[in-house]
Order: sequence, then C-alpha cells, then structure tokens
Amino acid sequence: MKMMRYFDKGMLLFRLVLLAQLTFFATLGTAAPLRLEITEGVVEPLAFAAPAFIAENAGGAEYASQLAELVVQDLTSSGLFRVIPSRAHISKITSFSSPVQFSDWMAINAQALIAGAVTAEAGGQITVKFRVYDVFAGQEMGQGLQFTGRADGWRRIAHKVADVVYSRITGETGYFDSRVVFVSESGRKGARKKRLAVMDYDGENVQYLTDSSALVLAPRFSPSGDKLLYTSYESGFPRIYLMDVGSARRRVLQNSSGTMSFAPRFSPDGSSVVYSLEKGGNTDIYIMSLSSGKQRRLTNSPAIETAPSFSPDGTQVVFESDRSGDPQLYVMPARGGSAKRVSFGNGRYGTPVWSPRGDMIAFTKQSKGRFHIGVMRVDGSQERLLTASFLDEGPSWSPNGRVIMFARETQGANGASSLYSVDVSGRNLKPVRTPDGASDPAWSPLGG
Amino acid sequence: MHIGNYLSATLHIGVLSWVLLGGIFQPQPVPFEVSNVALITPQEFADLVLSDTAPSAAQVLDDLDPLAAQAEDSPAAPDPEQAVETMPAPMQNESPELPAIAPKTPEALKMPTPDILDTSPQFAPPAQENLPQASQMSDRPVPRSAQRVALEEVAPPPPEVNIDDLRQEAAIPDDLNAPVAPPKEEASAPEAASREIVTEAEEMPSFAPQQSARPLKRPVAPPQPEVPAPEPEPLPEPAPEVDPTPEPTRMAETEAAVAAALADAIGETAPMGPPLTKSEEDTLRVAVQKCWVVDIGSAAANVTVVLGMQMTPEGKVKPGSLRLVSSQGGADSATKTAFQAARRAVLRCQKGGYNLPTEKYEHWREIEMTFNPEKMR
Repeated sequence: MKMMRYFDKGMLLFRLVLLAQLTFFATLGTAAPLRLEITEGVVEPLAFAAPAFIAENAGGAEYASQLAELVVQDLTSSGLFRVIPSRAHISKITSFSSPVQFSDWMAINAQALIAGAVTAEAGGQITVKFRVYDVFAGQEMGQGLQFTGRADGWRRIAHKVADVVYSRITGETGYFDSRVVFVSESGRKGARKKRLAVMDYDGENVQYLTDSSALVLAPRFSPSGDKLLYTSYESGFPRIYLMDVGSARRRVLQNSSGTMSFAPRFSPDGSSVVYSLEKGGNTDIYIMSLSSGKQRRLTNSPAIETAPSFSPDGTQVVFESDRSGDPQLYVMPARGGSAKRVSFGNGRYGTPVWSPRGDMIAFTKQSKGRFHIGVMRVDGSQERLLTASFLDEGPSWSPNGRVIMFARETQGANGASSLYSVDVSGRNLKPVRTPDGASDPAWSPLGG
Repeated sequence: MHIGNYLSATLHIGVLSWVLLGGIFQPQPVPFEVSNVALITPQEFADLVLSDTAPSAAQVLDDLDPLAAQAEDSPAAPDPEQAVETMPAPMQNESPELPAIAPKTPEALKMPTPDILDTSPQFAPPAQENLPQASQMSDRPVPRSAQRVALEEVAPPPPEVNIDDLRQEAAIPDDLNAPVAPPKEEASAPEAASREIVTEAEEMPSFAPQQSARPLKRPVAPPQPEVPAPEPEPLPEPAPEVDPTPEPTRMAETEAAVAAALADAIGETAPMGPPLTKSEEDTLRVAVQKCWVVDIGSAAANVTVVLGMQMTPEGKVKPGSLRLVSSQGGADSATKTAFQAARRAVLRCQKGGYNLPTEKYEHWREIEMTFNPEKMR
C-alpha cells in the first residue's frame, strides 16, 4: 500500500512538473502581438458631413440652413476639414434625437457628422443644439450642446458651434468666435487714409473705431478683448492710446514731451503695457502699469529696440533689436535684464509675436529682397518661413495659436495692402476679405 | 523564430517522458484489483446463478428440460472458465476496450438461459422448412457444431417468453447482462436457432476472436488476478472489471488535462504559420497610413501613440478591441486627439478587412501599431 501511495505521489508530481513545463513553454510559444510603426500619414482635410439643421418650429426654419452653412464655412476655411456635399448623403437627419445610421455615413467616407436643430424662442431668441459624431468609431464625440441667443446674432452662435466642433475633432480650442482689429486703408498709395476697424475673423461685421483724420498704427487687443492699444499720430508725434472697444472712448497712455511711443502690447494679465519709447534719439523697451501709470525701462542699449511681445506666462519678452548690426530677435526676462538672441538666420528679423501656445514665435523676415512670415521655436530653432512675397509683415496669432494673420502689400504704384491668413503649418494661405485695404491685423482672444 | 522549435522540443520531451515514466505506474493499480477480488463472494455466485437459471428454465419449459439441462450444463462449467480467461483480456485492453469487456463476461455466464428461451419460440415456424436454408444463411461456421433442436419443442415458446423476462431480472445482478450481448445474440440466434441451437460454449468462440484480436496486453494482466483467486473465478470477474476502468479513465483524464493545458497555453488551434514577411507587413502599413490623417500644425502632431487591437480572421478589427496602449510627447488633450486620428485610420481603411495571410492569423490576431508623426512635422 505504501508503494502505491508513493506511486500515486510520484504520478501526481510528474503530472505537475509536466504541466508546468508545458505551461512555461507554451507561454513562450504564444505569438506576440504584431508590432508595426506608421511614420507616414497623409495631410489632407478631414471629410465631414453637416446636413441642414432641423427646424423644430416654423421660426427656426429661417436659420436652419444658414446656421449649418456657416458652420461648414468656418470649418472648411481652416483648411483642416472638407465637407461632403449634401447630394452625396445617403441618410437624412430627420430628427435630432433619432439614431444615426453610421453605416450610411461611412459609405460616403464621412469621418465626422454634425447634426443640429434650431428652435425659435419667444423674445426674438433662438436655441441651437447640436451633436458631433465620430462616424467610424460609431460614437458621439462629447456630449450634445445648445446655445441660446438673439436671433440677429445667429452668426456668432454658428461660430460658437463651429468652435466646439473644431475642438471636439482636433482637441484644440477654435478661433471662429473671434474678431480682428486692423487698420483700414483707403485711397491711393502715398496718400492713404487709415482708420481703425474691427471685424469678425471672417471679415463680416466691420466696424470703424476711428476716423481717418490721423494716422493710426499697430492696434492690439487686450487679453479680455474689451480694450485696444494703438499708436496714433494725432498729436503730430506717435503716441500710444488706450481705447474701450464698447464705447470707443480713448485716452493717451504715454504723453511725455519730446518722446515718441509706439508698438504697444498688453501683458498677458492685461495689467500692464510694454512698448517702445524713443527718447533722445535712442529707442528702448519700457513697461507701464495701467493702474498706476508708472513706467520702467527694460532695455538700455544704444540700438533701436522695439516690437516687444510677452510670452503667454508673462515671464519673458521677445523683441527686435539691431544691437548686433542688423535687426534680430532677442528674448529677455519680463523684469528686464540680459537679453538672449534667438534669431541667427541670414536676413533681417522683426515684429516678433509670441504664440498663445507659448511654443513658437512668429516674425517678419526680410531676406534677399523678399519678405516672409515665419515661425521658430522660442529658442530660435526650427525656423520655418510660411510665406514669401514683395511685402509681408505684421503677423498676429489666432487665439488658439494655429493661424497667423498678416498684411501683404502688392508691388507697384497701384500696390495695395490686404490681409492674409496662413496655417502655422504653412498650408491654407488665403486672403481675408475686407471692405478696403487693410494692414496691421491683431486677433482678439476667443469670444472677444 | 525559435518559439516553434522550443514548443516542439518540449512536447516531444513531454511525450517521451510520459512514455518512459508512465509505464512504471501502470502495474500499480493491479494490487488493488487483487484486494477487491478477495472481498467478492466466490463460488456462491456461480452456484446461485446456475441454480436460479436452472429451475426457472425447467419450470417454464417442461419439454425443453433437456435443452435447459444442456444449457445449464454448458454455462456452468465452461462459462466461468471462459469468463476468467476473458477477464484478463479486458484488463489488458484497458481504456479503449472497456465496453467490449463488459459484455463478454456476462454473456458467457447468462447466455444459456436467455438463448434457450429466445430460440425456442422461433424454432417452430422456420425450423422444419428452413433447415437447409438456415445452414446456408448462417455466416458463422463455428456454431454448426451445436446440437439441433426438434421442431415439436418449438410450440411452447410463446408463454416461455414471458417467463423469461422474470428470469432476466433475477439474473440482473450481474449488471452486464443487459447491455449488448443479449440483443446481438438474439438477432443472430433466430436464424441459427431455426435449425440448430447453439450452446453457449459454442457461441463463445464467436465472441472470443473479436477480443483476442488485441494480444498485446494479455501477458500483463493474467498473472496477478490468477494468483489471488484461482478458484473463485467468477468472483474475480467483477473485481478486475472495476479496477481496469479507473485506470483508463485516469489515463484519459491525464491526457485530457494535458491537452487542455496545451490548448489553454497555446491558445486556440488557429493556424500558426511562419511570421509575416516584410512585404506583408508593408502591405498592412501602407493600407493604414493611407488613412492616417495627420494635422501637422496641431499639438497632436507631437504625440506618438501606440494602438492595440485584436483582429478577426477576416482581417477586421474586433469591435471594441481598439485601445491606447501608450503615448508619448503631449498633453492629455493632444494624446486623445492623436489616438482618435489613429483609430480613424485603422477603422476607415479596413473596409472589408485588411489583406493579411489567413494561414498566419496567429501572428496578426493581436496587433500593436505605433503612430509616430515625427517625420511629418
């Protein structure tokens, strides 16, 4: 009997060992996942479908198609999206709450689907609700949203819808619900009349803020979007003015006699202004507190130093200086101190603007008789020129740091200045529609 | 590359070790059989069986007394012997032959009574007329040596049949009687019975050849069972029967366990051919990158994401299996966007399924794709 027990134990041990071996080697034998690396994709607009919004009552019918069309226009203008014509649609969105037949939208290769509805409310308001779908994932991207506003402000509602869609798909904030302040130019070259104007980012709703009695330059929005800084020759010398956008009331910020102040820009928190001040033939960077009016000199160099721009965190300032002989870009602490040169390419660099993202600096570059709008890393690396023309200058970042708007002037006696925008990638270069000539664009913050 | 070799070597080693070491353990169960045999009632069993069957048959078939006597005589002496002899055979045959073993022993023991009863009723009609035909019809050459039965005796069978049922119940204790043996013999018996009655002793050989076809394991089993209970032959019958069954079942269980372990460890028995070639991988890579839309100006263009997915044999992504394995180089929002773009690429271009070799499914049933936009920035 003992022998039998030993045998049994031996058998059991043998089986355990055998199973352990099999398990061990079997795990080795299990096929590992197939690993591939994709390093080359395609750069093309993302196809989406946006059927006309559903009018949930008679009053909403007036805006249903307009809203959808403007949303489509916003998205496609970014160059990142391509709309699929409604005639290609297989499914129809007949109810905002009805389930989506993803297979029908996949069949037309729509990667995103926007479904919306409009309801006219009492008091001249409308309510717009919408959903964004990831067609191939077969799921909604985020949750549905709705905006309610005045019916006559339907364009802004549409811009907001487009911003949300843009954000849902790209993961970044949009810039469609934003405005641009610029210098509107009229008249022949050499005798142009200039005045400040504000418009929606797409050129709609232009409003003039000043008359053409005095030359105005370089307007800049405050971080909150309710104030403007600009330079005016109203007094015969360049002076910096602060304007309230809502009331158009203004006041001079710096009025020291015998000086010229220009190129102002708000600090990220809007509490102070950094600008250039020419005094005694020397131009340096100064900073002024808006609350106290006290100013402080940030640079002290015999060179011309101008066009300061804060970093988004307010700790640094990039500016233009010819202390090296040619205009180049420098970065210094916001409290002043030693500056570090960041541009080293051939040519002349100017008008630097720190990106809202904080990772890049846009600039104007003159090289070999041509002007460029370019971007570089804040340390000066990875410089890329996005445009090239007879005269490109004055870049301004969109609120999300994705698009750069600038002024382009054509060559010749009849040359005129107009606004253009270009994606930071260098794609989607296109003109911005304005009633007259335009220059010195400055983008407002989102919703500003 | 060497995984297959490792696996093959392991399996071979396992099988060889099993063959070499497994034999050592085989003889163990035998002693158990011996002990069981000792416990079982010996001679009484056979005597009881014989006594039970004899009186019943005698009572039922008055005219058939001689037949019954013959039948009783034949089973009593030859059956136990044959049973004892046949018993080792099943022991040796073990697992695969278990079912065959069971019927043999009971048949030998019980065949006499039921056979007689069954044959008697059928003798009447065919016996006289078909005597010559029956001999021709029978496929069994051996049974002819059996004695012939007179036609007159056939008349009584009908009532005998009912009585036979009762006898079977009494004989049931053997358990093994019921299953296969009776019906087969009945089917064959009628034809032979029409002319001749085949005694149990004569019928047994017909069964023997079927079992004896496997001589391989005979030498092992006989020695041990014979030693403990040489005389109580009928008794050892049940004992060895009980023991052999667990052994084969153990073996079967072990084999099943090993097979299950292998199946679990290796996975499903999907084809696992050689690894994908470079061109096959490139085919998949190109198919996916055609649909990978990269927004080179976005923060997501700085993010490298690794997607994991499970594939169906048709080359399509299993629903819900797409997941973010890892990411590098961006904030959460940028990572999310990069993941969504990669996911769209995989789902959008799969259409009816990626063109992947089915025979290598095991190699691409699980895929991890790294989407690295570094070169596109």
